[in-house]
Amino acid sequence: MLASPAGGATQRVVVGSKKFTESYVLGEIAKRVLEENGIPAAHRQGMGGTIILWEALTQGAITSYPEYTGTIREEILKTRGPTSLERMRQELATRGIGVTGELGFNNTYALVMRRERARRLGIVTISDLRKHPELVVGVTHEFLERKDGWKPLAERYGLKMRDVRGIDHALGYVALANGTIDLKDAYSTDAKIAENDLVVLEDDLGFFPQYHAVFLYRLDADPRVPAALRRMEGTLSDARMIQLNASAEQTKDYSLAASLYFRERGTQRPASLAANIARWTARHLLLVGVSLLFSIVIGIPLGIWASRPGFISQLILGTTGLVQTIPSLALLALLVSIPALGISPLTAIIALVLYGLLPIVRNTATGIQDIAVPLRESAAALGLEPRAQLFRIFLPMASRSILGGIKTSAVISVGTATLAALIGAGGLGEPIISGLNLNDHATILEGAIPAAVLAFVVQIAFDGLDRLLIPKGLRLRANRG
Amino acid sequence: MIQLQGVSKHFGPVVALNPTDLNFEERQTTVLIGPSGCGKSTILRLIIGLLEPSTGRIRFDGTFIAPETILQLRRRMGYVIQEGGLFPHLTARQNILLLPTHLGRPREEMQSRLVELSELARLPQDSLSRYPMELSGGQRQRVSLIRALMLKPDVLLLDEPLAALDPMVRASLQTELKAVFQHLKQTVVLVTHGMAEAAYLGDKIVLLRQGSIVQAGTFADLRDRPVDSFVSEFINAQRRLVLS
Ligand SMILES: Nc1ncnc2c1ncn2[C@@H]1O[C@H](COP(=O)(O)OP(=O)(O)O)[C@@H](O)[C@H]1O
Ligand SMILES: [Mg+2]
Repeated sequence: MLASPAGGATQRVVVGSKKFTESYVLGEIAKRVLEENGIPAAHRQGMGGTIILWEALTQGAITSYPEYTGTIREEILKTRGPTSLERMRQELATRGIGVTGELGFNNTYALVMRRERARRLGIVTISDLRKHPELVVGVTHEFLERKDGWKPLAERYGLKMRDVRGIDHALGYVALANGTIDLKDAYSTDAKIAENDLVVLEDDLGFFPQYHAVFLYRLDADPRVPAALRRMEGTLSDARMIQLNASAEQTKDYSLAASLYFRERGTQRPASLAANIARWTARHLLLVGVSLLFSIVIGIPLGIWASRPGFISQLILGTTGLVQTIPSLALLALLVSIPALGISPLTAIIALVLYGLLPIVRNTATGIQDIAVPLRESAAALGLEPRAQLFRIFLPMASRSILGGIKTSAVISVGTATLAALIGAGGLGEPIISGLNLNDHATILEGAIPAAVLAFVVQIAFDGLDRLLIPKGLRLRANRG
Repeated sequence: MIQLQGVSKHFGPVVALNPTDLNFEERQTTVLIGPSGCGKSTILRLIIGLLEPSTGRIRFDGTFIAPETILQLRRRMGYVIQEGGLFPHLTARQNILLLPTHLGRPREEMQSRLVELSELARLPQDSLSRYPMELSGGQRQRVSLIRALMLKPDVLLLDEPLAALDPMVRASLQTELKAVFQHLKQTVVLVTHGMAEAAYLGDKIVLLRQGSIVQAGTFADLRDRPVDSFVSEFINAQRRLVLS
């Protein structure tokens, strides 16, 4: 009765996860549980924050993902005050989403400090922070903005910190360790707390809501999906989750950590590094190639149009220039919020196409504009119609400039495409982003080095292409006489 | 062949050409001469449709020049400018054959025309495979001339074609131009600022000043019966230059 005709029953089951270790591990466990119950499932790792995952779920890009009761209440349903899981279940059902029972552990937010620094300042509870407005606060961007995040917390406790910064979660631990910041937000089951000898400040006013882990799923999914997910209810204590998180961070292998949950060793050998890099690179090249192709096909005609003086030219160059000033992350987020696009490789490609447009449009326009007036007039005076002038004279003469634009666009695209992994489109950004989440430099380099090499190779390939595509007559130096 | 009927041209407040009536006769070389900025190039550019007249109209072999007719008419004109106007990405041969190929003219016919014209213009065969950058200034102007003559144009429009060349090269090209014009019985409009060149090549000389015709006639007319002191001064000034 709830199943919509376009529902997920016939579609492949996809489990999503947020951009931090615990969510990765839970996603991996869910995938394995589903498969053990005969439901083939894929895991799209680290897709982003709450908003991205929730949209992906409601739009049907994923079937299920792990979420926390506090987040459902504060961020998704936006209700104030305590609400029972049963109330949330009813509310979610009206949006076509179901929720499992609690998995066991409570991963609430916490404020953490270095143990030795807290002792020296005599800080035990969050209230104790009131006397230390000089402390530097570095919290995640999400925590900065959350309804149960920094601002309401500071208000509730009357904190007056002067220096409050937004910082990536994994990088925040580094900043804490080297003393750049004094205080950061953490999850209570975070393995880093014990690892870095940090203390959790007591929430003496009971500000933080409870964050019990559950799985959200689409109600139109195959009914075996919720049945399988429910088998995980009550199976994960705080201690057990901390243990799994720690294992994931030490081995950098989520499937291994997930295997711990099943009390078995990972039977699948992890793919070799070379095979992984090859897969990421191929995916990366596909993203760059497809988007570059579209940038060229759209950019050259726009550039030709923009080469003619007047208002349209200003409009085209202005608009493509404006697109490029939007930070790439913001552009991605903007596109993801368009319902027809959402979380998909198509969205990544559209963002890359938009980014790649400006150099091609601008170089095509200036390449044509830079042709000397006597030569333009000769082309007309010869008796060539405008179309023939364009294809036989103007475009070949502008070829060096146009190719230069395409080269710039390609090199930019190789770099920007690493962001595609943020919305699950894959590519060399995948290891970079997991590496950032895990604060693991080796993993970051597995993506960063091939990406840099790729940019270099693209550059060289285009230099070779210059020789092939730019007419010889344009590559000569002037001859006197 | 070509008639200017009350044609004038101004660019905003700048008057380039005052209302002018002028006929260019078939098989004649008409030379436009006068001080820099007097409107010589403007007349050529009006004829080939790079500019539209502010007033008046131009008839080309019975057809009025207008946006609808200009494309076809241009293919019946040849146009050579000071720096040749050769396209740098094409070899000399490709430059010459660009329009004939585009219009689908028979290859063999064009090939023999090319051979004939390069002999006439004394262009070495091996220059044909060179790019403009690889040619000397004189060779570039020869190539440009051949390109303009390929489709047997009704009229050849030359805008100071020899101005940028060394004196030696210019002298030999003047001789060749005269031979080509006579051999082809070509209708020519030539812009120059050299009176000697005008006298040597022109059947009729049109002397302009500040956008108006001062006197039109043979060199002898201008020399022996100048209409005013400007004409005799213009001729004498050039003579003094030659003698000094
Ligand atoms: N596109 C233009 N815009 C404004 N003024 C022009 C333009 N073309 C020519 N002129 C002016 O018109 C006058 C005649 O120019 P032109 O015919 O080129 O002279 P010339 O006899 O030296 O060939 C000059 O004063 C020149 O400055
Ligand atoms: Mg001129």
